[in-house]
Amino acid sequence: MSSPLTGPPPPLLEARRVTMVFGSGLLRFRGFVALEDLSLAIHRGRATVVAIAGESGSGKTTLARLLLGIIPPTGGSIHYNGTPLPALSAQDRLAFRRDIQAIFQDPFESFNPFYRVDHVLATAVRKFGLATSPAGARELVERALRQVGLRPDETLGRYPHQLSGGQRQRVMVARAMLIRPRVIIADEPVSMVDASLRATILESLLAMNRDLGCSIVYITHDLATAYQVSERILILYRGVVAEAGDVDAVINRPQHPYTQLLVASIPTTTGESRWGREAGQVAAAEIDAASARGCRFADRCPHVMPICRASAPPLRQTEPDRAVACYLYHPDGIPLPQTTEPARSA
Amino acid sequence: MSADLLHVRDLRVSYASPAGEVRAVEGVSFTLRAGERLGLAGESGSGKSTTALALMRLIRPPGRINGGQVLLNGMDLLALSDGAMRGLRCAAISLVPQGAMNSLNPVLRIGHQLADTIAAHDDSRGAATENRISDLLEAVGLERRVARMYPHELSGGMKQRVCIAIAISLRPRVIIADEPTSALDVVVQRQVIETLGTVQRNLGASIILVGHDMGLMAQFVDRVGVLYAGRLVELGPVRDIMLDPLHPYTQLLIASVPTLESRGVFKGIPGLPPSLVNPPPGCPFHPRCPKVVDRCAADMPTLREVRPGRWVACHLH
Amino acid sequence: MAFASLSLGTRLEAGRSNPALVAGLALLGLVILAALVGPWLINPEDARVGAFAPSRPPSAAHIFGTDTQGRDVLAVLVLANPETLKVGFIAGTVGLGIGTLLGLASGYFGGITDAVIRTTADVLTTIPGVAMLVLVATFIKTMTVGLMALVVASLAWIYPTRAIRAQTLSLRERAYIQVARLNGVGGLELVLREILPNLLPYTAASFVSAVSHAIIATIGLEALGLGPQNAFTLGMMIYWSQFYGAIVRGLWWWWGPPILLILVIFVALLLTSAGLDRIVNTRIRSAA
Repeated sequence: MSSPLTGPPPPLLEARRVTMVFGSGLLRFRGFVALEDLSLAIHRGRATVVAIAGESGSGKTTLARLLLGIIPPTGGSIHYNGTPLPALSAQDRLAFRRDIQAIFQDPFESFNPFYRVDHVLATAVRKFGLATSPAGARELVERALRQVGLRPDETLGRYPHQLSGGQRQRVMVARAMLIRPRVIIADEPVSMVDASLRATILESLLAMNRDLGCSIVYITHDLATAYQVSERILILYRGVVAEAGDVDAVINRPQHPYTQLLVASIPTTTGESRWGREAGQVAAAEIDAASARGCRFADRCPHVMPICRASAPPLRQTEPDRAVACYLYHPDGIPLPQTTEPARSA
Repeated sequence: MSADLLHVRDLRVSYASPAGEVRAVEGVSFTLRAGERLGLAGESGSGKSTTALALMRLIRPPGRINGGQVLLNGMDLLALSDGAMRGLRCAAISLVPQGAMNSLNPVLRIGHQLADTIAAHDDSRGAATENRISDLLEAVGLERRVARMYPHELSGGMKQRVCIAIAISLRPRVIIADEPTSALDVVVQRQVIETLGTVQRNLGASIILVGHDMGLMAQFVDRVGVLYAGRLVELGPVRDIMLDPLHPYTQLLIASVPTLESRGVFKGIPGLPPSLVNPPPGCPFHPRCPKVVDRCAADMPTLREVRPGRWVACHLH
Repeated sequence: MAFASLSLGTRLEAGRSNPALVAGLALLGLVILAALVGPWLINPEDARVGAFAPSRPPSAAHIFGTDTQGRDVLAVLVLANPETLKVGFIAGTVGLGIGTLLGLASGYFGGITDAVIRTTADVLTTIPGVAMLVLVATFIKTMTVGLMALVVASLAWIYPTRAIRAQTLSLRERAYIQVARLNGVGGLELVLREILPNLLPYTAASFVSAVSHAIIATIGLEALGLGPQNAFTLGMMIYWSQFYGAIVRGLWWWWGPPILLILVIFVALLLTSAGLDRIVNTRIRSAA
């Protein structure tokens, strides 16, 4: 969009108004809308940690797959350094792979059961040309393992089923560390790991952010760890961004009714019961009546108004560091014309 | 009112594996009072799920109950015949197993599955059963028409509530819930747990909640027991334990739960859980314990009541 | 291989828990041993026309008697066994090889490739295999064992293709394939290094089934008279015994032994297949 000579550099990784509809071929009207009109940008030069929070079915895993180029969006586009993914040359594709890495949720499934755990690390070294000799490769791998708190002599040479879930996930983090990407998409990296081991893994991720200048997109359903780890947060509800902005503001002073519900539902160990606070107005309209036109949260919202069912509220800025998609904060009810600015979420 | 309903004494369970005998539960003892909510908290490998299954006598080979007593109203469940135990299961003590919502029969309607449980014990069918089913669904906050639906038409939270309905269909005195909310998000989790609480109050039953989420324990149970490597390391009222945990493992476990109070602070527990085939000598936690002393590697600490109602297994107390 | 990480004790126990596989392989081993060693132990002259008095029932000199041409039936049997096995294994291997390639390509690449391969395989399944083979075989002037194998192989790829395709489709979605892609692995390397090794249990099972089908098809064709006229195979023994009216004339020792041997071979293949099935299913169960 802007010339490389005069304008600011394009974002490293960008989702431009992406929509993902999983539908049955010909007759699309029965399609399942996993994501709708979502925009997100990670810029180079400033390593951030962005959390994408939402329940199952919110579209967060779909977003991860789109950002990694695993599936193409049905609407909108994903860009790497300004170029849409399908238009990348073979060389650019390798650079894309090198810059954008991921950690997945299931530590066991991430390993090819046929090989020892060394295989996934050695393949990374080999394919990205990270070392010039076998000795150098070995040294690199051992260093990365130590950085995540594993002992190379206890980890290398083993098969995946011989390690614990926490150890496996740490090997995956080590793999990402080896490659030194610019962005790591971490899709629920600790949800299948024991509570006591989560801290180590999250700490490793943050260390990569701090010391290697790597941005992290932390996808989770656990608001508490999102709060611990990230600077900015997007709250997804059924494929749409409900609220986005600075994590402190969003979690401690939630504006969107869904965010308020989420924050109030988190069980905590400290002091008083959080659950007691909320007036239990959680209308369980769970038998699905997908109202495609209005706000997705209308069926469960304690503050629903007629306009909410008529059209979906746009995402608009309510504070310098936050945007909300809710008519409670846009009483005029008239959505402003859509500009091409990316959402204020990154 | 606070009579002892369930009395577990020195329960021992192990199972055979290619690597050797895995000692999953090593001498767990606790009591459950009538109308009480007890939590059994621990991470993977702590023995909490095995304990839940053992209470129901659902341990199958290669697992084996090696010793102990499970006294329900004075009657030892472990000494009963298979037939007698089958009669008691679901009727006196019932279980909402882990991943229950995935084990609903996909080709039967919900009402049918509820009726099956009732019929297996009561031999009753017909209009009376239908009313009971409607009542059960109502008790867990579901509409009557759910009885005519199939599992795939329901959301995760609804399926889990159906499983709770199945578990309470015969009005048991003890309900064991094993990780009932593990695959559910926080909002639905709260609904399901609150349903569990309502059901328990209405039935006057007792609940044992098995799980790893200390935050959830803090919200729901009256007393909590912390398991590590098949042993109870701490037991007491949940509020007291959360505010003042005595065992180092409990302290670290509570500290590792992320809160919305402070950011960027990560406290995990270094090291790895111990092998259950060759556990270390002495206290199983001593290799990872920040407050370890020489005695810990030699002597096994016993669970002792160090204050009224507070039990700890640690040489520091 | 992951199997190597198990101790000897575990492997023995695995053998004990899978009697079908052990029995099947043992039986198969015996048959193959007989095929390899047998021809050296008998005198090939005994299988020539006119070597002995014709149509003699079993006796001390001739365990299985002689046929109407004066051949010692046991000698013929020993010589026929390896030929039949050869056809079965060649056809099974070729069929499996083609099937694996097509199935992998079809499952992994999807799209047009998949559409073409899948539709072809599906259409061919509906055509009776025997009829097709008969048709093909009639066009061959002089049938040899090798040609026989190729004729049978021409249809033996269909079932393996579908089985491997289904498995590839499932494996393709596994997280570790995604991780391999993230590592920069793609295309052929991904298929050969990441997917193919995990297909091995399924290919082994498909191989056994392909061999079974190939042997049946071969015997079928031979019994109909379309087999290699100048070679000894089990099916040809049956054919010749029919041709010379062995049933009418009560020469049961001519067609009995080959049928018995065929039975033994099939029982061995069936047991092996059942045993492999258990391994495949155990791997699914333990990976879950």
